[in-house]
Amino acid sequence: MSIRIRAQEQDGMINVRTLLSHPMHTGDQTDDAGETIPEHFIQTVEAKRNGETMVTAYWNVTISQNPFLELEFEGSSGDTVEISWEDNQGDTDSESVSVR
Amino acid sequence: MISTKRRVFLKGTLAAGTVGAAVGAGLLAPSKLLAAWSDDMFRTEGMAEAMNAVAGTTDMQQSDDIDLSAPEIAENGAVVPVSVEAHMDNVEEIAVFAEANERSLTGRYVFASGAKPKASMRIRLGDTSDVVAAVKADGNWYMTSRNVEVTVGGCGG
Repeated sequence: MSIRIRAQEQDGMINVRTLLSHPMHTGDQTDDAGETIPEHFIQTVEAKRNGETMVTAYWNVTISQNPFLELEFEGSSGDTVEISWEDNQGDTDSESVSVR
Repeated sequence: MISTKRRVFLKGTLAAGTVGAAVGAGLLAPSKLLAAWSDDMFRTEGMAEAMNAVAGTTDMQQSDDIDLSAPEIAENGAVVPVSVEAHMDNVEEIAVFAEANERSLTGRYVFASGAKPKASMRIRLGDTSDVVAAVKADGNWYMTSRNVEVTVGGCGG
């Protein structure tokens, strides 16, 4: 699993584009053997600037596989943007970048 | 983990008197008091149930101050790009619903001050569907919608 983040500042606003690597199984899909794949999906995503939560997203199974998310919030070049997630099976991941 | 949190929350409020009595009597859904992931909002059977769980109503005022961008025709329902931006003050939350999905609430986005009330995402549509963007601003809910025709559905497979 991995998180890719692109964070760029323009006119005092940070534009954040992130790609989260995750299967986002809906619970309706079957594997090659015909067995149902249990639902496995990101439920919560947090976007932080310098440690402060700016946006929290809550997701359903109906967000596409390997989710893409674009957000915007106030900030400056050099700020730290952190993206973290937690899924329904308790897995988590997080990644930080310095704003360009 | 989610259900544990909720149990702790319930225990806390039940001990707290008036609010506890209201929750206990079913007057207030716990989900409305707890801004987090909850089964009540996300594991639903249809639009009305999901909207009620999120907003406490299905009766939202139509607004031209919400930009909702989604394709008119989606060849692949598994990946449908959707963007929402609210042009109003004091936006606390944006919720995106897909009417044709049984679990109609696709995502909720909660904004702190300093965050622009906008979000872009890619969603799944099981069938041709109205996509609804609902915005909570100054404590009131507003909405706009757009129909997306799906050629190949995106939830099973």
